[in-house]
Amino acid sequence: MSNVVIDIITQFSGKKAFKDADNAAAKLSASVKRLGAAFGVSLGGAAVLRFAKDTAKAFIEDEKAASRLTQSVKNLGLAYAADDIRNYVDQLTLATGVADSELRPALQALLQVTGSVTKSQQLLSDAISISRGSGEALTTVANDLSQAYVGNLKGLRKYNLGLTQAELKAASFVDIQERLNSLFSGASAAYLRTYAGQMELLANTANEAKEVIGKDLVSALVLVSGQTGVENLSTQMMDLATFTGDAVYGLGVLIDKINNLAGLKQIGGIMGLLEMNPITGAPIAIAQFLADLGKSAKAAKNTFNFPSGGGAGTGGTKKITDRQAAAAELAAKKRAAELLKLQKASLKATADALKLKKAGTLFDVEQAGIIAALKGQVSKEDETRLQLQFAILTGNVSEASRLAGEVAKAQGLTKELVSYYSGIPNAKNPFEGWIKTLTDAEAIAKRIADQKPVTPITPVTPQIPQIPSMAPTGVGLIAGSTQVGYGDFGNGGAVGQEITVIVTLDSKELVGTITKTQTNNSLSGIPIGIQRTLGQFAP
Amino acid sequence: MPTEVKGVIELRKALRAYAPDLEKEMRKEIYDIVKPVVSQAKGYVQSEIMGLRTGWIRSNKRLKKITRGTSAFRKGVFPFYNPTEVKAGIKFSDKISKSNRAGFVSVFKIENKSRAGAIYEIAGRRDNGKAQDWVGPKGPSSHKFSHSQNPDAGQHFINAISNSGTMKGEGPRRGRLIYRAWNENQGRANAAVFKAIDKATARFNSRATIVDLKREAA
Repeated sequence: MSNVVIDIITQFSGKKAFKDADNAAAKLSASVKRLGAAFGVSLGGAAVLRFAKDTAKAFIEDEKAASRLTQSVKNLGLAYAADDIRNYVDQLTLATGVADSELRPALQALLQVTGSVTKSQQLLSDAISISRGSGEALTTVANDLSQAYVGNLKGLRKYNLGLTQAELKAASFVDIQERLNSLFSGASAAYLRTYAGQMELLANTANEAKEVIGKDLVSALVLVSGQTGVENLSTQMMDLATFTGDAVYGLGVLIDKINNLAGLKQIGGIMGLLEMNPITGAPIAIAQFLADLGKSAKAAKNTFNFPSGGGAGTGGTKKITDRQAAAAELAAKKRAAELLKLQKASLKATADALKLKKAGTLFDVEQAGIIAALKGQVSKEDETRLQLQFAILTGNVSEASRLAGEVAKAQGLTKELVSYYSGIPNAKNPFEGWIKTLTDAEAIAKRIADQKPVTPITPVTPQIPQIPSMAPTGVGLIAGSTQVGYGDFGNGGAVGQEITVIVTLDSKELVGTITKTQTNNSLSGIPIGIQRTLGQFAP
Repeated sequence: MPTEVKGVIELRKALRAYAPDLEKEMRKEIYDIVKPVVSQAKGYVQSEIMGLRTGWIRSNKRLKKITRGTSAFRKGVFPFYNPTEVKAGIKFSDKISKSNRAGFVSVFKIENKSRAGAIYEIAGRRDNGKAQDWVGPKGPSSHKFSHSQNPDAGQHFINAISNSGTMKGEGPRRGRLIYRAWNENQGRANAAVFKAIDKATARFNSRATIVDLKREAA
């Protein structure tokens, strides 16, 4: 059949292939499980291999960390305590749920500073509580404690001890330790009572178990391969897995053959020969035999590798160890005493420096200027300001706070005053009434000048008398040129002739008129207000 | 609520089950789109291939079945070239195929079903006009070698076919009949087919919505 075709529209289904693969995998898995069940094995080959790798890896990591700590301990001259430290860490990790990978660096940091195993263990125990109580990492807490032990208290701020900076500086390490214990004591135990704490404890225990299994697994591999290292661990583990698989298969074939033997068929096959676990059905007798064998082999190896004290015996070793421990503790105490002495000296130096600074203020020019200014005539507010400045210079915090409050208050009052005045309406012009009076007077004069005769005027030849100027000086009002009739001025005059009228007012009279007008206005309910509060008039 | 149809196969199943008229309409529309391409491909089938010395062409009589007696080859494995049969083998198909090794099924396709048509379509494609290596009748038995008595028979055959029809297309979609016609169509038919499927999907969805609304109203 030809395969020449153009697919215009296609769709990915792949159901058959995937379904076949799924079915095959499911069948294989079921077969493997049945095989596993037949031998009391519940894990597949891949899972066994993965678990083996994980356990070996966990052990290798743990071994690395342990060797670092051991080396550090040796360098500190505490080699005698290496075993005790290892046991302590193992016990502590099981008791507190803190991974030994965290405990070791923390303990190392403390050991390096204190030089005392006892003190370090005590501080590590405290550090666990502080870590659980504060939420900080154990390594961080241990570093902070070790720094505090030598007087560097900067790292303790994050624990909110409730101490001022001055108090913190003045406090000794013992005081700080007490303070920390009062704040965080019992936090670790409380945490372990929680669900999360218990889960962490279980997880940590499981990890420890993995390390133990991994250690024996690696040792077994080394034993089988005859090598001294674990460099080719992965390859060997793969080989082991393959070998195990082959062995399991071979065992199956063997059991099958044995079961078919006539005599064994009657007693239930080879499984009947083995003591079975009533719950899991696993052959515990063989496992127990293998476990006993491994235990005795390990014990023999340990005996060979780590002889106890070159013939001195256990008692002799203990004596030596005790002597070394006592010497180390003595050295650590000596070091602690030295540190305390140094700390006290440092505090004394700080106090002396403060005293010297205070004495030095006597010659402070700035302060002298302020004192001189205070002695002079200054306002109350300026006096407060000067006192505040002086308090700041002398470092008198309480006085400075009080004075600062007063100054702020005074400033606040001034502000209020300004805002009050700025809210006052504009002051009136006191001479405003004068202008009105003068304008009225002008209007009256104009009205008089504009008055005309009621009867017609017969034109006659006028004999116009010249009116002499009455008052050439003083305040006067010139009405201007106008025409006047007979009835107004004189006994008649010629119409059409210009008459110049000059009205001269006396200044006293004018003032009197203004005064009267103002009085009248005032009495008529038109007050003239003058506000002189700000000393100026409104524009 | 609109009905979501995943994939063309599901669409066709849904159409067949719930809107047979739409399914029929869609198939006819696609057929109308592809028909010119099929016709063009059929037009490239040559009734005479000049320069061919093998006597491959048997256009004068209808060959029902290729046997040792009817085959151009004595072993009866190489089919005769019958232009009518080749033309009949070129057609559009909407039959859903079986899944191939990669897991794809073909829903709409143009086929060149006849064996002679397939030979004419792709002869010389693999080595770009070069014939298979010649080993002769007594050489190792493999389809990779020419077993003809004439060492140049394969090359003559390819040259003659190449002279009668141009090969067009790219890679595995390069040939002288359907691939050539498809290539010359420049993807217009392909786009039109997609559009027809979209159109059918949209119409089906709209119809499904109307049905839902009626149900809700009831």
